[in-house]
Amino acid sequence: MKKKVLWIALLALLTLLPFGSVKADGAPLLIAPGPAAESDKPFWYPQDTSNFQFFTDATAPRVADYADIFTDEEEAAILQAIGTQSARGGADIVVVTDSSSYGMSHREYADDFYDYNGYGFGKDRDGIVLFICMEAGNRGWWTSVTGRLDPAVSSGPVLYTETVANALDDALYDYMVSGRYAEGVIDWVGNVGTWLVYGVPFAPLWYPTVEEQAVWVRERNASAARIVDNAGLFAGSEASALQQKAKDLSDTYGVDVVIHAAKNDCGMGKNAYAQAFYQYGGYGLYSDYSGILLVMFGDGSQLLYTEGEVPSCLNDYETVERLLDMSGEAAAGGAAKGAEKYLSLLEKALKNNRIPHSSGSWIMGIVMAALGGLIPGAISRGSASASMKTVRTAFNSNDYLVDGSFRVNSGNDVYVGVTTSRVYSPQSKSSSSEGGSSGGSTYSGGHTSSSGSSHSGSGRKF
Amino acid sequence: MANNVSGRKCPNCGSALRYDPESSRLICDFCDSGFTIEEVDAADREQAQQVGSMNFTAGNEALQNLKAYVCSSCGAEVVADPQTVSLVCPYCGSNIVLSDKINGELCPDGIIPFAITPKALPQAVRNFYKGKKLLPRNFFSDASIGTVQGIYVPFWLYDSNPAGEMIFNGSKDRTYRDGDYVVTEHRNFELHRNVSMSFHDIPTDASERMEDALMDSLEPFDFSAMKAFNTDYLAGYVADRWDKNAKEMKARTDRRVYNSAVTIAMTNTTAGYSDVNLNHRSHLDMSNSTARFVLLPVYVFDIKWNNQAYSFAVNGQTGKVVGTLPEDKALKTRFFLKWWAIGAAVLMAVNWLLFLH
Repeated sequence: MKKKVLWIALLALLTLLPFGSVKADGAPLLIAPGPAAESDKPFWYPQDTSNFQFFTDATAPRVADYADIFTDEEEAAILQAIGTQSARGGADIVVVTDSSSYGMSHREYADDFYDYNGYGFGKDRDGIVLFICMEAGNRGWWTSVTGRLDPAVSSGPVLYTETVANALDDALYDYMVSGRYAEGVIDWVGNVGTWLVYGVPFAPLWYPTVEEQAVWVRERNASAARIVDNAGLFAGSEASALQQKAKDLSDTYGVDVVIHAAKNDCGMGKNAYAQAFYQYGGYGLYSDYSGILLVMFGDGSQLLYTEGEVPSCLNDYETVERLLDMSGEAAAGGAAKGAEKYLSLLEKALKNNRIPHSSGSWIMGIVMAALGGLIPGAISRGSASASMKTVRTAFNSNDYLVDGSFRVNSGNDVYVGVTTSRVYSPQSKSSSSEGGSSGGSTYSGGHTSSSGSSHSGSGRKF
Repeated sequence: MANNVSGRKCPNCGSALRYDPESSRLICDFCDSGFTIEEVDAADREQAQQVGSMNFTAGNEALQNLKAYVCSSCGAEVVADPQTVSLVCPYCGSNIVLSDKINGELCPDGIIPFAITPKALPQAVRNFYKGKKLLPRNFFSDASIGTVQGIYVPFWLYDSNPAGEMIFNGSKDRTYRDGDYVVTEHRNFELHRNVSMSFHDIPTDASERMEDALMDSLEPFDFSAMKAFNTDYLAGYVADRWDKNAKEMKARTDRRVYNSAVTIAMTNTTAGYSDVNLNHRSHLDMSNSTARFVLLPVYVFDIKWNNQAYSFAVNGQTGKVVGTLPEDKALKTRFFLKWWAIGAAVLMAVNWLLFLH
């Protein structure tokens, strides 16, 4: 009997004990690991969200590894990186992992974790959270931004756009699928720091910071190199020859001619990268900064950027495509050969305002014309041949219809049924607050979390 | 056995008369006289009172289907097949009308006299050659036109009044989007149309000797110029009586009428429907039709070239020429290459202007 009473007392004590301490406003303190066995929400989730008030908690852990995928050393390294980059960029950086999303989407988990645990800097709670879900069959991550980083509510210089989201997610993906979680997160934190400082995730050395951009005044840099090889595509002698040719063209035709080899677009988008390189590099002649920049990317793609007064043919999409195609074909024999071909074609464009066609285009045109000519040939021959034969059996008697004799005495339209045919034709998707797809990531701009806060974000499965 | 033969004689000199399409008169080429049909009738009546009407005796009946006639002018025996009702004596050139063959149901209900003279034929043929790009170059110089024969070809003219229920299948369509699918809905109907219409004077040749397609191709004839039959119009021409009766030829005419009836009914009664086609349960009563027998003027001749004969026919009323001309294979190839080169050059120019410039 005594033993039975002791068991009851122990059970009563266990029932009364909470799994985690609770703050005065109802939000839980993040000290208990894992989800509560009897709850369908994670342990940090407020019991009552109806009266939730936003708060900031500088002491909340910036790395919450509930899925236990980091070692202690890795967690410390991530924390150190976060400390450095958030101080550098002036926005909160948080990483959370979990072995379940508790029935929520990755986006909802990330948003709610950030909102209900007091993250963010300043009154707008500026910050970014990376949620890594390790749930079997539901593995993936979601990045959510808040405050000045959210393009839905801010027009500041540092925004989590689709381009930025894809660049950050692309870099993280390889780490995630290969199980190098800590390494990937540290790299991600570094990229986020760069993005917070420069406005782009992988800013090149020449790129100004956000503060510098705010006070930047455009000026021509007469000493800027016309061949800038950041991808190691040209040998020294090749670069010198190209430099001389570009200079000759610039001097002769009064338009800056620049070639830049880059490994990638630094997560800015190729057009934005080319524009930034041209403008921040101080290129362009005269007051309208006339110039033509060819960017040769490491993936083999090329982009032509022009400003000011340039031959009109270079404003024609097809002509530019042809120019790039022909120089791209020549680049198969080496980047320098491609650049030489480009400068040669550009000279013709500057001289004659036209880009000649490749011999392949001419041959294709001739073949198409020859084949097309068969049609009038066959029609004319058939028509001439038909005119030689005027003997034909009469098929109808239309010419002998008595005028006004045709009568419809009665008519009746009998419905016999319906047949339908369905052709699959998917509608193009457009980005919306509910989410859209861009690149390899799912991007969501300007959605509202359960707490009522606005977030934007992106994520992928792995 | 006596066969009735009539040949019109010149009231002045007794020579044979021929019908002249240009002047619509009977002409004597011997004394260069010209008479209307009424004038010759009056002269004949006067002569009959004086010497009695002339009788012609039938000749040899040895051949089963051929009959021999004695020419009233020269006394020669002329053999004619059963279909021939008018011919020219090969000995003296007199016109002979075998009037015993054009009695009763064999008597035409009308005739369209020749309006085109044989003299006008070469020009008509030359016009026919015009624009024929594939005609061999030496066709004009080497070809020889054979004997031109003016023939009154027997035709049946049908009046047809088809009536009945035409049934068409048709649909009203609408297209809408259902998610990622484009759905086309066809609401199908049977369109029942009780129709009637009338066709007048559909010509169908009634001569076995004439190729049907060749005679069809001579249309149209102007039936307002139709005259009451008179043997005098036959003078100078060959004429045949029908050897395919009206009942026999009705099926061919009905096919033409049916095709027209379907087209006319479909065009006029199915507006608003798409994919319209004829339902096989349609029924059109074609029995309400009549036919009359007429003679229509046709010239026929062969052109011989390169050891081959090419048959031609000319509408004796309108001058329309029909026939199949020979094609020069080399010209045909050159013609094709010429237009192929022009087409290719135009396409290349367009290509250059739009894309390669």
